[in-house]
Amino acid sequence: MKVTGASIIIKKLLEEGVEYIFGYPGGSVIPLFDELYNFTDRIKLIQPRHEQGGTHAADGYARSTGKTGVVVVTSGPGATNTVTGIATAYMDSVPLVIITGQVPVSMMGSDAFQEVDTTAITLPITKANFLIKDIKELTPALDLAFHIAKSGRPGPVLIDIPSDIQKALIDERKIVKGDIKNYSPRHDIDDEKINKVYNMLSESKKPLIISGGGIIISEATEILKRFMEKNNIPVITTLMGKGIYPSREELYFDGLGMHGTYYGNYAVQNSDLILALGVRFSDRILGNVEKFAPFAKIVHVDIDRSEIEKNVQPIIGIEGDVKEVLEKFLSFPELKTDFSDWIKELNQQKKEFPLSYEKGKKLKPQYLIELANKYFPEDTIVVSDVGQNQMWTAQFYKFTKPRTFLTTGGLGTMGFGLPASMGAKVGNPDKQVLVISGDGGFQMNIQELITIKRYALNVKILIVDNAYLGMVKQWQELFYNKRYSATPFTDNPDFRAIAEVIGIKSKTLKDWDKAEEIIKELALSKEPMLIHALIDPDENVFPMVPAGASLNEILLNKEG
Amino acid sequence: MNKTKRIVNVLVHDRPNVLVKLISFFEKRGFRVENINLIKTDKPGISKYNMIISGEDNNIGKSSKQLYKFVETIDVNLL
Ligand SMILES: Cc1ncc(C[n+]2csc(CCOP(=O)(O)OP(=O)(O)O)c2C)c(N)n1
Repeated sequence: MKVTGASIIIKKLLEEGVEYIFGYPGGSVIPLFDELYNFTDRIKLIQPRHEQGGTHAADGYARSTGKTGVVVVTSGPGATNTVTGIATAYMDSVPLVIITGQVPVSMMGSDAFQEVDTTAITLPITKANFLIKDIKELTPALDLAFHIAKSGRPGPVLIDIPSDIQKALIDERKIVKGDIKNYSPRHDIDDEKINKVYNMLSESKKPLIISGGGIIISEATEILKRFMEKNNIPVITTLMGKGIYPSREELYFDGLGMHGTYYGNYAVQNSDLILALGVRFSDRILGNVEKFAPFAKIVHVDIDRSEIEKNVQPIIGIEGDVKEVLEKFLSFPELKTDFSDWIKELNQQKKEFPLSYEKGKKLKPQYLIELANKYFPEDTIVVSDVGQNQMWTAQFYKFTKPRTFLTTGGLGTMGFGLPASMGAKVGNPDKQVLVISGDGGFQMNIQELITIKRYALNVKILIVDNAYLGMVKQWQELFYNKRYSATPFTDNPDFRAIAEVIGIKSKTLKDWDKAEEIIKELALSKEPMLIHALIDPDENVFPMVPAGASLNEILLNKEG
Repeated sequence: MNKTKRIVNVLVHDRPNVLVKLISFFEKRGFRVENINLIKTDKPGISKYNMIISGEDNNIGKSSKQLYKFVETIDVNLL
């Protein structure tokens, strides 16, 4: 029997168990959407108002569920509109499969209408991409794409499919499968190294675990907690590693780096042995590399071999899945070494230099986040946007479960939050989803409010509006003589009115005294709701390690 | 810093654009690709790129390990 390219694609999606696609049509994907029309009972279309929104939504779906997010868009502008979303996913190792339409094979290279070289544009921001020039290549490419997106270190994979290939016919018996074993990274964890690390741990006086996004991706949070609690090892997390807040609070020291905590950075700068698990040592956590962790031997575990020795030189590098590595560690007997002095020292720092803000007067974002933490259920998925709102959320919300904090760590993409929250809700209909966004980032994909309305996605939206591009303004205030070039957003519209016109329930929040009641209402609302909070425009994110400074040179407030 | 030259051999699964990836990999790190040879191996679908890379410091070796980031990379060898 002969089948079309489009039917091969849809069949593959069904085979992979894809329940949702985030898609937007156009000339070169009409055949594919036409085929999809036969399967609307099995594959649901979530159609954003903008392809960037759709890509972030697929990303939010993938981050929150661990499944691969699927995007379908047309050629040319449809494809280029996904670029920011693909780069965002790539930087944070999120599995996506993006299917783009392309002009017919015979027209490629002629600057045809809506032709762009999609695979060239996305080459550096995908794990792999494919351009299909013959229907025979379609099945192997689809097989590889879904495999590569999820295997090893996950990431986005793009398949560019000309419209005539979608319509072309192939005899089913001639279809060959993709050879995925060529792209199956093998990691034999070196037991000798594990032994060495165990010995180093037992000789160490000030050990510290830095837990990164790899811990979340490999579903290793529970085993990590068991390991650290069994052996009394303090832990801090990177932005991507949040979600392990342990039952034993005295071992947890929040974040490190530019907007980590004072005591988190203190731990790094005073530790004698760091176990870095699934982290990539980005410049935002390192500060000045030369002065990073001056007393520590570093053990680096990562599934991506290219991360080891990239930014810091470990004494031992272990290539492998952090979960398997932790399982090996856990099989050792409990460490006999007593780390209680070290733990006491760190808790002393935590007591002396806690995260703080002024209470009871002006409306502070940190207060709203603490209130949200109080009134939303523990398994709520919290999505941030980028800037100060992101850092406040990371600092003040306690994430106890993996995949409950979705944030764009690597690319820092403003406009991520609102659409990503849609995808999170699609993938987790039974959980609450809360998006916390600045006014600037919210307006970058504000059109997706309409998508939220269309699909009745019950997401809760908290806009912390400081009438500035706050994070940039903060740098201008501290390092550029308060010259607020291009950062005032004092002409922001009334977001409550916009939400209401679209049909989303909304309230404006101005006063400290009203905050508790309104955040509670947000948490309890049975339908999507938006809070437009007019916060103190002068609030900044502290502590702060200026870019390129050592983690010791940390500013606790404007005065230093 | 001294200018150095190294031979970097990369064994890859042959896919479209691997060559582009390899060249831009070195150029964005500040190295120059002086020469590239593509050698077919006996195994179908697997090729070897022999490259001569020059640069202002001797980090070519260290950087080359990051070639493992590419899904196509099977082995990296420095001479
Ligand atoms: C797409 C994009 N453009 C520009 C930036 C640079 N940038 C980083 S934070 C920031 C300010 C964000 O302002 P807002 O969304 O109001 O959030 P706030 O920092 O005030 O919480 C800007 C412009 C970015 N990260 N992403």
